[in-house]
Amino acid sequence: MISGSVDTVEYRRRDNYVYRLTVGEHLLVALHARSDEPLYALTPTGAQLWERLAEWMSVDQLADALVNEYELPVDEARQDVRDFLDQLASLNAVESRATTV
Amino acid sequence: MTVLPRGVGFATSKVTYPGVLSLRFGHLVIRFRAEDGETPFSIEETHIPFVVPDDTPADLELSCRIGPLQLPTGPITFSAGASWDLRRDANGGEDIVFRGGANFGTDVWHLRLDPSFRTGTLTEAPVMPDRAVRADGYPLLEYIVTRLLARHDGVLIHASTAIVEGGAYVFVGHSGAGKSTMAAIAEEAGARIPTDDRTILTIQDGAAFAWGTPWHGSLIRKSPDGAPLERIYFLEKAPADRCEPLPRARAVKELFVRLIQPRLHAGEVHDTLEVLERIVERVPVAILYFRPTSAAFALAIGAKAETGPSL
Repeated sequence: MISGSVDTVEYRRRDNYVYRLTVGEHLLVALHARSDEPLYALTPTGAQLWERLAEWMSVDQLADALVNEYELPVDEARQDVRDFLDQLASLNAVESRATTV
Repeated sequence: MTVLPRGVGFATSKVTYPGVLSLRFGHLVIRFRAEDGETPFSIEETHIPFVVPDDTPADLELSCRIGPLQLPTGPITFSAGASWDLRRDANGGEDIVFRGGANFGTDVWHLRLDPSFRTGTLTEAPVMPDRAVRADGYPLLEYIVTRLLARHDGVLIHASTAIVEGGAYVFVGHSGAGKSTMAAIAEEAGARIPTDDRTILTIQDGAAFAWGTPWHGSLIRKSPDGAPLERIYFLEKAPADRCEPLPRARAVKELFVRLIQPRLHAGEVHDTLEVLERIVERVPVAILYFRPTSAAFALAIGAKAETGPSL
């Protein structure tokens, strides 16, 4: 038997953004004035994912959270998570690492 | 009429204060004290109204000297392009080096703020001809004030302010929005104008206030005057005058993006948003669509009774 490993990617939010629930809106504020856009609004789902991204999380772990919370089909939840992570990556708001399991 | 057309400068002269100088902005007092007890401080005459007695309790005390800068080492936390760099140490103290001269090629000031932000040191390089510390140097002083406001329930915003019958009406907008125009109209109508470009907003004892500043704009008579905040308007030029109340959530976001706030510290960002939340809880916020006439200002100060607080 050939021993093997599976690579997976985990994500964690960077500390260059500040999250705050303000007057019912989930705001993400870019630290440092040179940021082109200082302010972003998250959906409640996005805010929940942002909170979880305080720790290293895989797409599947994040998707599981959405499935449990919103009873979404797992494929739909994974796609939502990937889209959200892509947006965070475009803002340089998330870092990633490959891990072996 | 004391408002000059936008972009028209006016001559000012410098005033010096030997040994110690205390300046008040909004509710904050900053004291510059010479390390040797003698070195003078200079300010433009536009800043004279902001000088307060030296026994006024200070929120920040800076020990100052003129001499070669001992530049900090270590990684830069944030660089504002060529004009200044910030280094933050592990315990929260900060070193900021400001540059000036041609292409910002000269290191001019080294500001050291202790972790409490209540004390610090300021060294000015011996590059000025008169051997006086520029207490109002740009962007040094504005930087200090914005950082302190973020820790003391205040913000600095792109806005002009008109004080009418003891109440402050604040007109917010980026460059070209009409802040100075509205200030000129308001002054013609009898309002006091403490600033036509940058306003300090504060929360004190549960109430919101607006204050004048000495920075920028085209107004000669800059004033530290403050007054309870009556209304905030975002200026929008339009073919007809009307007011559109803003929901609180949108008001916070629109205010936030018009702040002069370097957003260097997560805690300061949280506190700033909290201040804005408290302001929009207390003060109606609206868009003022306006033509540059006295009717628009009349609508602004009369609308108080016609529309309620923002939603």
